[in-house]
Amino acid sequence: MSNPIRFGMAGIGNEGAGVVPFFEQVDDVDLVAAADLRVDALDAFQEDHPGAETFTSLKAMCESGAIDAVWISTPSQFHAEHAITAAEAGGQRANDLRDRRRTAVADLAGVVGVQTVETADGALTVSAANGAVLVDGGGVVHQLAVRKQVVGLDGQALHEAGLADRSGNFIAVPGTFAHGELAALARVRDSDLVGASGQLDGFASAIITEVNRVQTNGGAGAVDLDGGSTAAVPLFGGTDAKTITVLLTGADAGRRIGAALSAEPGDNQNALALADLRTTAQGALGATTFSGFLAGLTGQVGESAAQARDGAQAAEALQQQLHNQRESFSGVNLNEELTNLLRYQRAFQASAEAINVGNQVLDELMQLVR
Amino acid sequence: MTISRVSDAQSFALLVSRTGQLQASLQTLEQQIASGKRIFSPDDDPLAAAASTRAQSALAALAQYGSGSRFGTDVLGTQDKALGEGEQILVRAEEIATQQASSLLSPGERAAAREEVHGLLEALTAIGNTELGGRRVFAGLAADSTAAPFAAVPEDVSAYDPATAYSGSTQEFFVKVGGSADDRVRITTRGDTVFGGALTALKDLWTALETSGGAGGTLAELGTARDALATERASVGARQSELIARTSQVKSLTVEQQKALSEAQDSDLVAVIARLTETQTALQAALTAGAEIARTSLVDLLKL
Repeated sequence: MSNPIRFGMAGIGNEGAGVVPFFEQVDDVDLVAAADLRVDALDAFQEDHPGAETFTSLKAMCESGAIDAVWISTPSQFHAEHAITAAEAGGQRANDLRDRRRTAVADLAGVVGVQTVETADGALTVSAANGAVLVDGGGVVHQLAVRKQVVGLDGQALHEAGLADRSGNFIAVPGTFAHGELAALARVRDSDLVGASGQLDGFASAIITEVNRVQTNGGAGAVDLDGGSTAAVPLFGGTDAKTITVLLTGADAGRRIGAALSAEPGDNQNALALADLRTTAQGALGATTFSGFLAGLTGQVGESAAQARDGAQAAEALQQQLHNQRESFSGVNLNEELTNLLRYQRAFQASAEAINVGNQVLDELMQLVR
Repeated sequence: MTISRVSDAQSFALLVSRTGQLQASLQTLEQQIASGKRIFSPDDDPLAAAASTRAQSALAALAQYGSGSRFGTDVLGTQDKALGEGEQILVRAEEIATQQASSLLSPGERAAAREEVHGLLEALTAIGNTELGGRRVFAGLAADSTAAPFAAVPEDVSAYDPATAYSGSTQEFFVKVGGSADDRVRITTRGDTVFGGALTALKDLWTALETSGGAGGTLAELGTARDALATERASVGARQSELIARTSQVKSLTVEQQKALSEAQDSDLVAVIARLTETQTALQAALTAGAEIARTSLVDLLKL
């Protein structure tokens, strides 16, 4: 064949290098150009393929006129992007590919909240909420990165989302991911959960301190059922809601409660003091009682959850509204399409009829002349 | 901005989301019917959840006050009866003292009277050692002690010392009957304070009979001791009626709290079933409308 198809390689990394030998085995194709961001890779390619052209931009290669087709072997996540650039350089509109790209970007926006700007060559610049550029000109500018931070409520390390610079170092930029699912989860984890769990810790700590204070009679020791001192027999162990434990366990646990203040075998003075705790306003709990505080906390957590649910419903309604508006522009209504189809069909029929009439007129004219 | 075009994808997405919401509502309503509760997590109704926590805590406390009051009522009832018997014993002792003071009796009759006073001393000691369910009601804080608070009267009454007979506690036992730290009622009576005078008076009467002295001299002492018993008995009665009032108050408060708890967390079956039917109808309508919309297409209507 005299005119072989001239191919240009988009990306000559590991994947691209694996493909190159096959071009030489096929007769009707020539590998005549390559585009890559890495200049040293381009130099190596040129050594192997003398006479081949090299470009640092896919768009430049596509518009050079040197090639007929592009082989895309860039990293997978850029396939859509590069296919659009290549296809549109040939003068087509890559609607299908653009649609796929839009879906991918919409998915990404749902997770981390991004903004996009389309450049003149059809490529997308994707940036985070605070303007940090993530993807530009078909290449990654900043990778998303995650690092372990302080220990969380469950004792496991918390993860912080941020960006990585070119050498892979973590950059913490507050406000990078202010929207999307990731931001919402982080907000719940870092504010609502921490707040509620802090209150619960305060509650548990107050119970531990107060009950133990009465049980041990302020360290002086009350008297248990067997006449032993409870000075060193607290009822609760631990310091907060996570670590609270009952120290008096086992069959004789009840006998070690310091119900008495004297050795008398019916003394209930300290038991009365324990019972009084129920209605005593606790300074550590903002001068409320234990049960009052717990009821308040229950209401407060319920209120936050109810607010979050209402907020989610409102946001869903708004999203549905926006979705409807977008669909009204870009969606397909079968009835409408069918109507349009009929209209074109009718126009086609009318045109055909007009041609038919014209043909008949000409025919008759010819008859007259004859 | 008005919606100028409803895409087919949109119609179906709306149908799916609407029926999904209705099915979620149905599930919640079914749960409410099955469990009889309308709150499954605090966010279902934050205020009601807080109210329910408060009511449960109040109910637990009321149960405690109720059982304290009932126990106290029982103990005080026993004391009342015992003190009444104690008064009778002293009345009998006064009779003996009067007889001995007003007439000349033979040594044999005096011996019989001494024997009777000895019996009265033993009876009063037994009253001081009254038990209710294993608890000594006149032993103060030593209520649970197995040892009796009053020492037995020896055969030789002259060796009996009323001042050292009491070995119970000198502190009193209180029960908690209300939320405030002051809502406590004393349910024991220290045996030494209430029976100490009576035992001494009986011993003195016995001594007077033994030594042929004037038994009439002990009448005033016996009268004072009987007054002490009567005074304590009145106090016991007052506290008993306070506890009975508390018990009935706790009962009515419990009913109120149970009502509050029920209002906070129980589902109104009639209302829930009405809403279930309403939601089922809405789901049915949404499905029918969806099927209808999916079926009515221009494609079906045009004869192409």
